[in-house]
Amino acid sequence: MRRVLLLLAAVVLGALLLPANPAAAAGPRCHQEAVKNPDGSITYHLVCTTVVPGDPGSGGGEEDCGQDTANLPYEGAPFCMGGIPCQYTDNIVPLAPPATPAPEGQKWQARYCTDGTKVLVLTGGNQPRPLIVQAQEAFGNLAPPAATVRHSPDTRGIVKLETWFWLDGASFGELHGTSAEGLVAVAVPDSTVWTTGDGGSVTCAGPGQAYSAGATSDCTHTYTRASARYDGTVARNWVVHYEQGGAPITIPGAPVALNANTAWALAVAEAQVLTGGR
Amino acid sequence: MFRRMRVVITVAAAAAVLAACGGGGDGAEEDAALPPGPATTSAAATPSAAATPGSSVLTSYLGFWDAVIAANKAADPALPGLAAVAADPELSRVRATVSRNKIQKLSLRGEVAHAPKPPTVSGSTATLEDCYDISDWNPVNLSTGKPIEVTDESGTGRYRARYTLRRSGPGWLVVDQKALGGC
Repeated sequence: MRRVLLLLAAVVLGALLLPANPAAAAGPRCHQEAVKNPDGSITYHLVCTTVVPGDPGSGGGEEDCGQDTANLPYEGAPFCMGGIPCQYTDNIVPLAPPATPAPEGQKWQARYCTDGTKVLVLTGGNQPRPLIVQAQEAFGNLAPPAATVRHSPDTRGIVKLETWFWLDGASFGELHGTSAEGLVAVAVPDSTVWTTGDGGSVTCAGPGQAYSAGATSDCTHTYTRASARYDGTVARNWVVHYEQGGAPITIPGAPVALNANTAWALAVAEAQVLTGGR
Repeated sequence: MFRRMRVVITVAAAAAVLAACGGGGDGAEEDAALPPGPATTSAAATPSAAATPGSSVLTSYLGFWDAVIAANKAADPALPGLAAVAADPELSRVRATVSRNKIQKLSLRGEVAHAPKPPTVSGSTATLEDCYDISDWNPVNLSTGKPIEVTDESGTGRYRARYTLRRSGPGWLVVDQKALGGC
């Protein structure tokens, strides 16, 4: 009993002594971005990324000025500006009301910082969505085209003769999907995986090689039994990355692979019943 | 007021216009090998009596920008010079922009580069299309004078717009503009 009590005391003491880990707190990490418009006017946007607990890669290396633990008085998400915690608020008191109405899609807000400054700024109105949400939208806008399956021999396979498989070039190109904010998901063709309908499968780097005399291919299969119909599939696999303003950007948790499956069928005959070649 | 004096001329008509208005100034040059980015022109704010309609439009247009830059630098939406170069709705638009930045305690410093196409004059109305570059025209904090880090909406700071001018005495007033995207 004494050992149990000692153990419990140690656990409680340990919990009390362990420092709180602010990085483990989930929630948005924000920073302010000033945008210069074509007329020279400046608007402010609050760019937030979601912080995933325990994931040191998330947050995009945002500035940490203690904004997550600062005791800010207003309702806006905290962010860093000039190394001090700040936030936007609709409460502009005691500032003078703006002299001009806010343009459509924007609004006047006060920017309060813990150094005591409070200034009126024109904000972008609709704040950008978290990058992960933008990435999911961009990924969802990747649209693989229909796959056109080719093989040789082109009418039917022949037992004990290599059948070549490939996709038409247009079936397996680079794809782009864009979010409303302009984040681009780029899908780069990687590999194709073919199931041949007789229990076999073959993985090919790229779309496979179109048959021609003297060419070689890693995308072939040799059938050993004739059949009026082998039902096969081809999976096209793309590797996905994301770009913002043309520059690659890492977005933790965003999908990095895209695949699309297409069914096809092929008859395979014994060689002696055939009258022609390829 | 400081402006780069390089002139890029890719259109023969533009060359004729600029030559007629004598706006090349010292340092003016032709450089067809340069990329089609914005260039600046120098021009007197007041058109000369001998200027062609096209050249006086260009001169007035650049004078308009001089006043816009001055008003933004001074953070003064009521700068008297604005009314001498622009009329509504463009005048109100410019004043609103200056006012907005002033409320945010911002002033714009630097220069704006231009690559205008030859103006089109029809009676007392003229239109001019320009690819202007505001990448070197940036905000500073009015209180501290320190620059504010900004991102250009277009990514490059270059924008194409079509300006409408109305004849006013010997010169022209900029009365409207239509944004045409990046350039």
